[in-house]
Amino acid sequence: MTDAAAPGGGGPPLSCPANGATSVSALASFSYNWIGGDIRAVSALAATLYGYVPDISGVTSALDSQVSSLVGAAKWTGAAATAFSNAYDADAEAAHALSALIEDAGEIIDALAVALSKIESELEQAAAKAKSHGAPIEAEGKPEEVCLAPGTTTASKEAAVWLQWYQTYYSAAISDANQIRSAAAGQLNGLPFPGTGKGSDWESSLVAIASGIDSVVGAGQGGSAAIGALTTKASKLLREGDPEGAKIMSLLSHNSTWQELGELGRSDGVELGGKFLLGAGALLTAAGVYQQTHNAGEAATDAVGDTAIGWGTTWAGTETGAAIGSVIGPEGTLIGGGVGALVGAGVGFFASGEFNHLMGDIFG
Amino acid sequence: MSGGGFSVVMSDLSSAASAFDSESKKLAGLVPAGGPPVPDAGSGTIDGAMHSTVSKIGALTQALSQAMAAHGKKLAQAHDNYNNNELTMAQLSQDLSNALAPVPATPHPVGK
Repeated sequence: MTDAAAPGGGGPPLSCPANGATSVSALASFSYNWIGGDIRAVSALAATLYGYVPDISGVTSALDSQVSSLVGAAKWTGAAATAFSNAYDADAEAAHALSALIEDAGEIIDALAVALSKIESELEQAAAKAKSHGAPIEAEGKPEEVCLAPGTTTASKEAAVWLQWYQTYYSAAISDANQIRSAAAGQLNGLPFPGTGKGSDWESSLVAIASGIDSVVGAGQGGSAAIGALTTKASKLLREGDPEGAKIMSLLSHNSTWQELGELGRSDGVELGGKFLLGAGALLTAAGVYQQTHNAGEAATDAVGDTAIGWGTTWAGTETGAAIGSVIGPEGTLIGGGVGALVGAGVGFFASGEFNHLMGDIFG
Repeated sequence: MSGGGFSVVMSDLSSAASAFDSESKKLAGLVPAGGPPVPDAGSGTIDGAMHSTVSKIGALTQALSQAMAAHGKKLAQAHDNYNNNELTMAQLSQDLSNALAPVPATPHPVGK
């Protein structure tokens, strides 16, 4: 969320660096708790979940080592040994899948905490700004629900304008927070946890998940920061009455997100922090060229010039042929594969080393 | 120990059984059965989703722990079975040896 819509206002959008899948993201600074919920405790829950991952891996590593020492040529052989080894392999796969699911849940909750902290932080900043211009702000950040009659003095006129602005801002912030919570709930509910009730085949289900683990865990490009940035931008669009904001929010919980974002990228409405969202198709093209040439400029030119993929380029990119950095913008993380953890298959590409190199050359 | 299409190192089997037992306990203690405590995130929808998620994580981790513990018990049972078999075979061997051993000639009483 930014305060760009403030009267005479403006400020840098908050962003967090991608920090990997198993470390909790830094929250935006805030002092109160105006939008509801315990944001720091939500972040702590993400840290707790992240902490389980290496612990479970430690257990399986220790057991892997034991099994390696036990079973094999010149060791334990025979029908019983084979049956045990097969059964253990399946359980080890199940443990791997469970770790991945826990990590995904951690990412979603981490992203939720980051997004809420940004809204809270920016709401507090907005309140301070409105208050400094004379707008009356109640406890817990609520604007006074009054309509100040514009007075005759400059100060009273200014206070009336800023109160009206803050009333709108406050409502939007609360609405944004609720939408982000709903989106995160949808993502958590969408994680493919198998049941553990009587008769449920949880091990087989987890093994099946493990076999397609790339589509479950995504590419680990810092999905938390990605969602945080994207939801923040979407919030801004929503506040500005742009329906694309709602569309972005909705897309976060659906498959084929990148393709649809590419389609969105053709809209003038998708203005992200002064930059333009580059469609997934163009990005894929860029990385492909980069893989061959290791030339970011050439890759960018090819990407924005590619008309073979109709949804792949932004109107800005097409029109200006700008370098890829200028069309993707600093929110490079928003196209990171971490969101793949939420949207499922089809984004494994973003895990590629070439993509990372490309992003590093552009943004590094 | 070997025979009948199998071989086994008894000490390895015993060691693995112990490891599965201890690691399963580690897993069981790692995540509370109901999942870690869930904070208030500001709405019933997200709180419910978080509760559901962490309780599944707790239940699956417990299930995994039980599966590993079951491996440990089976390994211990296998060890005991092999050991019992070994003892039985040893006893049988001993019994057979004893049975087949040449019976020492009974000394005849002098003068009879």
